Amino acid sequence: MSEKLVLSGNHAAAHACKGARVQVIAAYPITPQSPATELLSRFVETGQLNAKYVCVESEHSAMTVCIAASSTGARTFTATSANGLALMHEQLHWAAGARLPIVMACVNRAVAAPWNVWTDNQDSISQRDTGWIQLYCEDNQEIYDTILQAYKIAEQIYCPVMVCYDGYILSHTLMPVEIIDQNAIDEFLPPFKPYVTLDPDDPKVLNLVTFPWIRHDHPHIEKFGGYPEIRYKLQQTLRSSFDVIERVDKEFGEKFDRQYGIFKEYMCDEADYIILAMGSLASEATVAAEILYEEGYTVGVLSLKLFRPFPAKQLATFAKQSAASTFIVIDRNLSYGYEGALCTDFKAALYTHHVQKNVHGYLLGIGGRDVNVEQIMEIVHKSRKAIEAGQLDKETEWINIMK
Amino acid sequence: MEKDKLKNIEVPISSISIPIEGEAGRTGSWRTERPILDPSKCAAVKQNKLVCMLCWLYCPEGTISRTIPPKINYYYCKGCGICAKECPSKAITMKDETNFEE
Amino acid sequence: MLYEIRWHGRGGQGAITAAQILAEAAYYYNDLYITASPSFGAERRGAPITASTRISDEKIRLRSQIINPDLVVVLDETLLKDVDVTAGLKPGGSIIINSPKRPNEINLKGNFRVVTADATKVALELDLRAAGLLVLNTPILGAVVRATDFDIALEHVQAIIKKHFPGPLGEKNAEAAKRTFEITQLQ
Repeated sequence: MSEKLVLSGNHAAAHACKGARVQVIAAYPITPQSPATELLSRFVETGQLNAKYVCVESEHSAMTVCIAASSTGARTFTATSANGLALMHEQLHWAAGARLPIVMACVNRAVAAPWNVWTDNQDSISQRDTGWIQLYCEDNQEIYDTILQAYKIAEQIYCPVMVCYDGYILSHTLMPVEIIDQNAIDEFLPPFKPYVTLDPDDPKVLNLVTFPWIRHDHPHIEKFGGYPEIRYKLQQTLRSSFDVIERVDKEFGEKFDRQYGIFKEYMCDEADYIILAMGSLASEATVAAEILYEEGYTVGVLSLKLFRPFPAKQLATFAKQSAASTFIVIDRNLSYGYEGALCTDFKAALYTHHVQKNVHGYLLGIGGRDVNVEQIMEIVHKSRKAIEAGQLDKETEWINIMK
Repeated sequence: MEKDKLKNIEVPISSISIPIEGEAGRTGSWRTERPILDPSKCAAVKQNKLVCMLCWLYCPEGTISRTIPPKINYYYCKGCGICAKECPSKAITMKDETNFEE
Repeated sequence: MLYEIRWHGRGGQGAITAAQILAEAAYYYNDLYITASPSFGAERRGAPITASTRISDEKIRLRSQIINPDLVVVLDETLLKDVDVTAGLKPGGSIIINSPKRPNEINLKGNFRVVTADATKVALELDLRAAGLLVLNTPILGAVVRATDFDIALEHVQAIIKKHFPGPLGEKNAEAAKRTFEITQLQ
């Protein structure tokens, strides 16, 4: 039987892992992730989840244990934030290159220095090059649903998936969450069939040194290619994974009545300006859009859920077909020395597909500074005034900061 | 003067912390119990020498003075009870805060 | 409709649980959408903390901090000295304070209604303690039910209390809410 509980984002994530029948959890505590893996450890200890919980001495070890466990065919999970995610950086590259369908919750938190426990997206965005699929959530039900979908996606294409949600704003905030009936989940998510496993009776070495060139010194060996071919396959899989991701989401929607899409549009029809953002910031922006509409401005919100692989063509097509002249991109992260990652990727997508729109980038809420409707409205008015004054181009601006 | 300690310091480019009394405000308001020192049991008082001083040493907030007898600053003392626990002479006891006037 | 509540307490007094219990009552019994949050950041026993509850008849998409609450609840009267508890309180809003004083004896003036209830007395009567500290959150919920102009039933809050604290402990806490409900002073 499905049941409705009032849960924090962290606990929603833990319940999803329980429903997904995760088999190995290796985690290291870090604010604001800890309550997620703490609840999972309680599920394991009380026998509610038949899994092995491995206490490790660092996040690097956590991902290492996940890699090892996944390599033996176990469905694995870990969760971390900020500096913890940074600490496992080399292993993120590893997990993706090893094609392991590990699912990790990244509870978004600002990175040090200086120390900061509040939310921004710098941690997960900093890992966007590693080959992990990245999905961003706006509320706790979405966290629960996305983790279930993540395992299905990951295990179909053999790529690791990072489910991201804002620290404190979602991780510690309680919201109603429907916990799906276990039998229904089992129907949706069959047991993990590994692509290759470590098996003493069938010895292999996984991920050994692989040459830049293609070997020809054994019969049939050239078909395996070299390192570049391995990495090429990862890229090809990711670039063609949109179908799988959308199909899994559609199936989820048909079974459980909730579907999210690669991005969600809110009041975008006939909007003059469209705000592009991710996560809880996008959710807040929808309220700003409503108030602006009352004041006579047509503003829409495009909430991007799938950040990696980046849906460049889909976003460019959406932009081309939209009535909006201007896209206002709000990043809760930045590539220091340049601008927010979402802004950069979006502009590149438009350019590649020859779509001419104004794109204004803004930085907001870095380091957990509260983002509210008033600030978002201020941003829209800033851009609107600039456009109306003929200033179509605008460099990224950092808002609500003492300059 | 503590209040003006920050006045002449230039805004740094990275986060630097300098010691200032009472940075977290009146942490004494957090107490539910307060430590009471009985001088008749205190080793330093009995020997009239700066001996022991473990309460001063162990107080995590530095609210106890290295004097004869040690003096507890109740404006900041959070009532953690470490001084009472560590005192080898059992001169410090924790008493319910509601027994004391504001 | 959007109803926003800010709770003030000290770490360990259970303000966060109060925020949660009220949210759950509104969700399960009034079929309303809710969010409930603790203050974001490190918490320490005895240090002032806040919690928040949002209640709405529409899905809540706001994720920001509450700036203009409709209702403020103060679990510990000593906080009035250190914290600006009425900051942002909407004109015509209410503030409920755990205190033996009458509302007009509370030193808070402004365009809001002051309500008091001696939750401490009820907690002492029932010897309601957790880890040495008096439990003030379940009693104060009785005052919230009494004073709020948002429609919530005491029995429903009590049911959620019993869900959180099963057995005789739940009964005691539910009783605490009822007794505080009865002694809430609206003027």
